[in-house]
Amino acid sequence: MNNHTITHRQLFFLIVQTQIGVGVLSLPYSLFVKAKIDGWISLLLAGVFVQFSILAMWKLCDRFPQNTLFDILPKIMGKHLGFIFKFIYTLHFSIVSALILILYNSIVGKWILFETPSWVIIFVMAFAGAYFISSTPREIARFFVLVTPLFFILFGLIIYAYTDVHFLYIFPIGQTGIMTIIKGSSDAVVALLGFDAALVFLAYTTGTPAKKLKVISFASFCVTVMYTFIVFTTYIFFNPMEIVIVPEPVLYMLKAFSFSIVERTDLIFLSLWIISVATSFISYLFVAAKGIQSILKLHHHQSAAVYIALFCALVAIIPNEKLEIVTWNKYISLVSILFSGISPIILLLISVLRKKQEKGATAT
Amino acid sequence: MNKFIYTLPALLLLTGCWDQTNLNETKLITAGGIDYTKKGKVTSTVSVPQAVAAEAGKGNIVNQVFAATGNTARQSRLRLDLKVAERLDASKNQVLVFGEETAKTDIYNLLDIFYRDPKSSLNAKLAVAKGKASDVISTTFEEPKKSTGVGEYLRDSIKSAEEGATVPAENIQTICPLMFDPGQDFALPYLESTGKAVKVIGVALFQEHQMVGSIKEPLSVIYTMLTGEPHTISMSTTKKISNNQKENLLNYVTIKVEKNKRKFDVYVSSRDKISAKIKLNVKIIITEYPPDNLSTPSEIKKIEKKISKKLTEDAQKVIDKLQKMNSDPFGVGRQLMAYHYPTWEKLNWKEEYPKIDFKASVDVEVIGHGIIE
Amino acid sequence: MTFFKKPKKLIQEQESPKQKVTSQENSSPEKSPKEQNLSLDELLIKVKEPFSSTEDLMTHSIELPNDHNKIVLLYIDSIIDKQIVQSMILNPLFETANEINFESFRKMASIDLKKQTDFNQVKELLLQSNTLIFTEDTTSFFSMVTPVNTKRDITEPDNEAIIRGAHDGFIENLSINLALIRKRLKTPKLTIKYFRVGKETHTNIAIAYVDNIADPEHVKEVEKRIKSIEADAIHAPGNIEESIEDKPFSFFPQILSTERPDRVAANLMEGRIALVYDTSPTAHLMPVNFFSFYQSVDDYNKRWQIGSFFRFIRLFSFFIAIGLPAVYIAIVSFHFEVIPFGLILLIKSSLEDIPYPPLFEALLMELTIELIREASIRLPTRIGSTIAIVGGLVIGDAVVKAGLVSNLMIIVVAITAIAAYIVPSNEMSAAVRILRFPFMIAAATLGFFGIVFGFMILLFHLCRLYTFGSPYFAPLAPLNLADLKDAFIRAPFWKQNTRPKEVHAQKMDTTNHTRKWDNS
Repeated sequence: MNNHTITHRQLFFLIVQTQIGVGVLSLPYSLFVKAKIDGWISLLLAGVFVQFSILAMWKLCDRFPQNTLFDILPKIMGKHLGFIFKFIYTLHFSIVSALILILYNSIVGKWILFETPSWVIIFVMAFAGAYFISSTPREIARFFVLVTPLFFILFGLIIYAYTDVHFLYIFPIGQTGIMTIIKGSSDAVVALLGFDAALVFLAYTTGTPAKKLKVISFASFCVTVMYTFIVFTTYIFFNPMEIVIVPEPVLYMLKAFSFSIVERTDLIFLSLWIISVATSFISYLFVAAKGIQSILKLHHHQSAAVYIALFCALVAIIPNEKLEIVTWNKYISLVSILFSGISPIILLLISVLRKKQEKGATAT
Repeated sequence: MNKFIYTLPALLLLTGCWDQTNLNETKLITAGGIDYTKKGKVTSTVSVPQAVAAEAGKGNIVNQVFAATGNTARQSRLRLDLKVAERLDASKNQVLVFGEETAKTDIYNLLDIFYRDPKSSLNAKLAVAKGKASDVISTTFEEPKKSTGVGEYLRDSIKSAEEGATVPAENIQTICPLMFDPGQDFALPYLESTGKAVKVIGVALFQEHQMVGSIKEPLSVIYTMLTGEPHTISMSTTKKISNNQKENLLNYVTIKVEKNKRKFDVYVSSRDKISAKIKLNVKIIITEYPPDNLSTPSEIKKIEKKISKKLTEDAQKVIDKLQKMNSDPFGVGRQLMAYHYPTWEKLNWKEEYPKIDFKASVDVEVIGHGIIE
Repeated sequence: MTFFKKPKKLIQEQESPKQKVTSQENSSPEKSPKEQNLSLDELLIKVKEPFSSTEDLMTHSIELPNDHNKIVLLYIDSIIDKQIVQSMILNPLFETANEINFESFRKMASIDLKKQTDFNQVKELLLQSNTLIFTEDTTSFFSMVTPVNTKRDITEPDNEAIIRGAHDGFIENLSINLALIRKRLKTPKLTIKYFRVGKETHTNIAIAYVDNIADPEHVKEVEKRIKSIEADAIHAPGNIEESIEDKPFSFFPQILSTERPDRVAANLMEGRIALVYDTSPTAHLMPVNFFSFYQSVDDYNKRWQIGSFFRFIRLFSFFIAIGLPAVYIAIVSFHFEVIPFGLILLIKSSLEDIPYPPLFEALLMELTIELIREASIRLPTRIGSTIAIVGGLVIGDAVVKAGLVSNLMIIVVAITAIAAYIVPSNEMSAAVRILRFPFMIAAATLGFFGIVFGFMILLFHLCRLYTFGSPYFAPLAPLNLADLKDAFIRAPFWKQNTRPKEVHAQKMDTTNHTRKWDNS
């Protein structure tokens, strides 16, 4: 276990890297579809909602220190029900991993590798995932910390958009009405998902509970702010009428930029973006592998690595039309909100009501 | 077992290179022109530079011009591809020119292929040609042979016109939000082929997706200033400020704008009467003034006043023209939409715009006059 | 782990732990001569037995003039210095003319003369350049180290030359090598431990560390790994390196090899452990991290800003050496849109008539460079420069003129080659050169996408690599901002006041307070 622990700082980067992922490119679009030009407000709202889930998640993990979600489930639900839920959760996490693969494949296929068969694109990522999760959380966390500076490049590219923006597009603020904005925030929550990986990673984190909470909630806050910045930027770059026909506004925006040393900045962005996708994919895949380990009572999650990656890749190959992808995305996202956003609260309630708690429960 | 699976990607690498498009197997389009034929078909004219010498970098570059016609822009491009040996690639396109007649129809329909294709170059300059676009593209220049052809030539001449503020800086992407915006229009450089050269003669004004008129060269600088462009490398114009000098030349002053500050207000009166006002605060340097009497502050004040008056007249002229054309490139509608949304919703902006009270005034401040007085 | 050690042992004492193992192996069922009470001749036959028929094992019998006692000198001719034997043994024996006996002989002899009683040591001693003296008293014998002087001069190592700084280097002699280190670290805490590896080769190696700085866990681990080596022959330090490193399948060197005593001394003071070899001028340092391979002694003799700049250049060269050909291939055959317009026609015209795909072009040239490199190492210096001209200029020029390879590819390959040789460590440079081939193939298959995946996997490999329990990619993974001061940049000396964290030094503070006079 000694080799597996991560520091609370590493947890911060783990959560940030998991949250920022495949959604970032199409987030402005999906928000716009729901909440029109006020989508960025929905996003901020979603950020607030997410904090509640995080609080519940933290409290839950705090009651069972050094237990992952899969250890906690049987403890609060009883052995059999716990097992069923363990299975459902594992399936959920692997399906989310597969969804990440699906969305990533569709974007890569659309923007850079037009002719390359999708199974190649998917398998390359799945292979990387299998390789990464065959190690310990500590090494994964180290890698996540290492690639975080790349975000600064991504942000530098986005900031360049401010050479040609129309601030007026954002006015009048709140034109769509509060109800629409709140409805839109459900989509925003989907983009912020990733904090749920904390359900497993918290078990490996050292540090006082207060610090852990601070770290996850700050991570989510940072991501919310970054996303809002990106969404806001695209909303003032594109005309409101235009976003409707541009499903990946961030890339589209970058496509028009050219610097004297390099053109087609979207390709650079996309290449770096693949790393953020990989990080979220790895996180979820790791969680899923942990689930398998817990179900099959394996010694190491490493033995499950290859199979879970293979499973995700095979699932991801199934949908091959745009409409199918949209449908998959819609349902899996809905389920995700249920499992990651709402269920921590429910689980916490159950554990409080049934007074389940591990004694001596302060992890140091 | 696991170790074996990790070697699989190695096999994957052997399978092939699906997306490979080798640079030396493509023909790069550097300039494109689109015209409608009389029957409503689309003719694409493209310029393709081709190196002819074996040793790199030293050989001449020969420009070839191809043209093909099809029912749509894409079809004409596909037909072009049949005419050339290698694959045509528009990802390095520098300039896209519309014929004047073409520009007067809906240009978005023609631009669709540029917006849709992930590889297309969205930062290509757009321009409208007086007459036919194909004339501009197939111009043979008197420029030295080293030049890489029409694409670079046109791009550079548009760029220098942008630097001189004769035309506003736009490319395929920057006009896209404007095309979708009901509250704002745009303008593109207006070119003319003189047989041996291509000249930027002003700006072509658009209303939504269609060209509706033009503003010619000296006045177009004022137009650019009115768009609020704060500074370009040489935003210069020459103005006649007096009539009483013997020699015609002495009546003129050439100024260079150092800093242009725009105050743009749109008011709605209680009875939904709309008025707009652009107030420019311009800091200038006098770059040519042969009468040479700029030594006293009062002289400078006098000149400032004259220039202000002249520029205000010009600005009003531009605005009147725009209202007549019903083109709203300054975004009065956008302002209205942002700050007076209820009023905007009630209006039919297209009908309302020519009727609004739209005033401009320019306030000039001389901050320099070169190294002599 | 013992924190307080006995004073260090001299090699001549022949008491290294490994020896006990060997002597056990040697102990044949025969009883010791003492118990058997053999005569001198019988004893000689007995001790010469393991050496079967080697002809350089010499016996030299002397009958002393006075008491007619017989003395026999036993030595291996090829590894002893007869001059020393003459001057240190024979001369004293005969000079004390009148009453020669062993007691007097012993009084006057040097410290190298020892009385031995363990006859199992005989073979061992002979192999370690001892001259053995047997007397009629068969219960004991004398030994004296009389090594033949085959040392070469201490010169600057060619492969680690520096501009400023010490110009001495290790040679093929263990005690000299240790002397070079000890000369720099005159501390009683510098601890040397001897080991002997190789059942037949009996290669002497020594580990050196500073007792109150190095992590005892690391020392224990190194000792454990060395002791566990079982092989007939250990020829090169490379054998040891491969035997004790953590991940033998990794491309990256996990033990730093150097021929510079100053580098070893500096690293010992950072809490690292050195392995020094007899018969090889290479010393190994562990545990090291990735960035150790990019440090050069030169950095510390420059102004720190300049040192930092060069170190940064070197690290940058890592990415160039691995990625540049790959990026070039990806650009010209996948994403030529990223080339700015001003350049693209230039590149295009250079590529226009090249018949081969860029990957093939690149492989061809990269392999050519490797061929030239290999050839110029093998050849004597004078011919070597011819190869450089033929290889570099003639092939480079002709290949472009012939239209096989584009100009740009030559430029790319040349820059890559230079970048790969910037690395101060030869092993790291080799790793980098090998790594660019998979990257080139990845780029030719999937473009930028392939390169990104390549780098991701490479970086993660570095993240999960450990050497002797300390993370290889520290201080980047795990991130330790304070340690970046000697990894990415070369902070000024007075700022380098902590030792690298990943070494687990017992004492983190270097007590670098060199600018106390500066009160401002």
